[in-house]
Amino acid sequence: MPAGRQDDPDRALVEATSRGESDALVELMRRNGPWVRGVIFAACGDPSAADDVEQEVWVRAWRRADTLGEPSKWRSWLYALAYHAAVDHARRRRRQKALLGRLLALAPERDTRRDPADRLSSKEGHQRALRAVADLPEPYRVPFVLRHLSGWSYRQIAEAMGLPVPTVETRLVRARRRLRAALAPGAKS
Amino acid sequence: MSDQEETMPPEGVSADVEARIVRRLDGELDGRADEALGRELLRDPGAHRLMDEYAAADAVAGEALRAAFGPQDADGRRQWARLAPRLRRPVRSRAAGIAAAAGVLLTIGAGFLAQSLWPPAKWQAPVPVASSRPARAQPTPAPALPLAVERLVWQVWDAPKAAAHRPSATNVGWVPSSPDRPAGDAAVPLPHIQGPRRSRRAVDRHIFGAFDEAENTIYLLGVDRVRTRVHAVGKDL
Repeated sequence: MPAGRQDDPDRALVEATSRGESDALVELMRRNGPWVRGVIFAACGDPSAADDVEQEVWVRAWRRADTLGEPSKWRSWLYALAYHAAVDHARRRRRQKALLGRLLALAPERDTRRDPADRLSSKEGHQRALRAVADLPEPYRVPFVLRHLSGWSYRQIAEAMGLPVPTVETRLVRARRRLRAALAPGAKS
Repeated sequence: MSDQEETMPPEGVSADVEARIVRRLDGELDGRADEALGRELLRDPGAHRLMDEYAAADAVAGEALRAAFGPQDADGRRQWARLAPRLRRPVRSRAAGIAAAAGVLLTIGAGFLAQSLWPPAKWQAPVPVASSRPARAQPTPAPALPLAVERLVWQVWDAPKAAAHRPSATNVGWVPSSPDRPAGDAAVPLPHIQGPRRSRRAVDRHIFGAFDEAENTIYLLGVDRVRTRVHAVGKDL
């Protein structure tokens, strides 16, 4: 995805951000927020984490903007920031969950099934699809989200993840197989 | 889904066709390959059905992803307002870095210097200091003074005391203090001053130092020279 300034308007924004121009960061957030949130979700599989971790990503991007050596590679750089922030978050969550699990083991058992009314909510379809994506193994989930949320090409995904293009292609095929099975009418939700 | 199912294409569809279906859905097939796949799909209902299922799954998942993570703040300003307090760039000034490094080195150097000049063991031991004040009763005997210090004591204390004891030719005399005769005692026997007397005290404090090379120790000797001037009152009147 080698792109010059004309082909990649975001590159100028990244350069301005590295010079400390906050307006450029605002515009960069507006344009790239969706896929950054998607990467966070894809990396940690937790939809609720996206907003909090995204803030952390932009804070890191602002503070470390001067560490971006090659401005044309800003997308891979931002992807790496988002991915690692999400992985850090997932690690913290696992620790918290383990602690919470030990505490809940001490409490009396209760019914944790979802409320029937909740099942009938209008967002059920989205939630089910999101759960199916979240259940994908992380190597498949990340390229799938980058492709479907951000519209990235195979080449862009491969560059950001540091993988060969055929590997990305294979992972996307396998992600489709799993999703088809998970979203089939008779599949368990 | 088992690992085997994951690595195998759906029944009745070859892996090559499946891969091209996915590439087509992702917009990665060029025109000629796309036309060729279209002709194959017309001939193969199973492959066509698979493409429809993949497309449906893509549509649902993509919609869910965009609903969950798509653009939220129209101008990003609200998000900026939330982030702004946290956006402080660390100072990466070369001069600041050098100054910090120099400060650390100075601190370490001063620590080493202090340790070499004043070893903690010396601080724990009692510092032997000779004094001209009357010695109080001590439960433990005073440590023996090295020769250099004894010589110093003699020079600044014993020798002047012996000289001061010489009787004066006049009826005014200087009386040095000593451990067995405290300073300021107006009733000191001065046989050559007859009748009522008046005395006035003067104190000169001197600090002497002696270095004992054997013990690598500095001894400080504080000497208070208290002189009492005694004169006959009747003579003044």
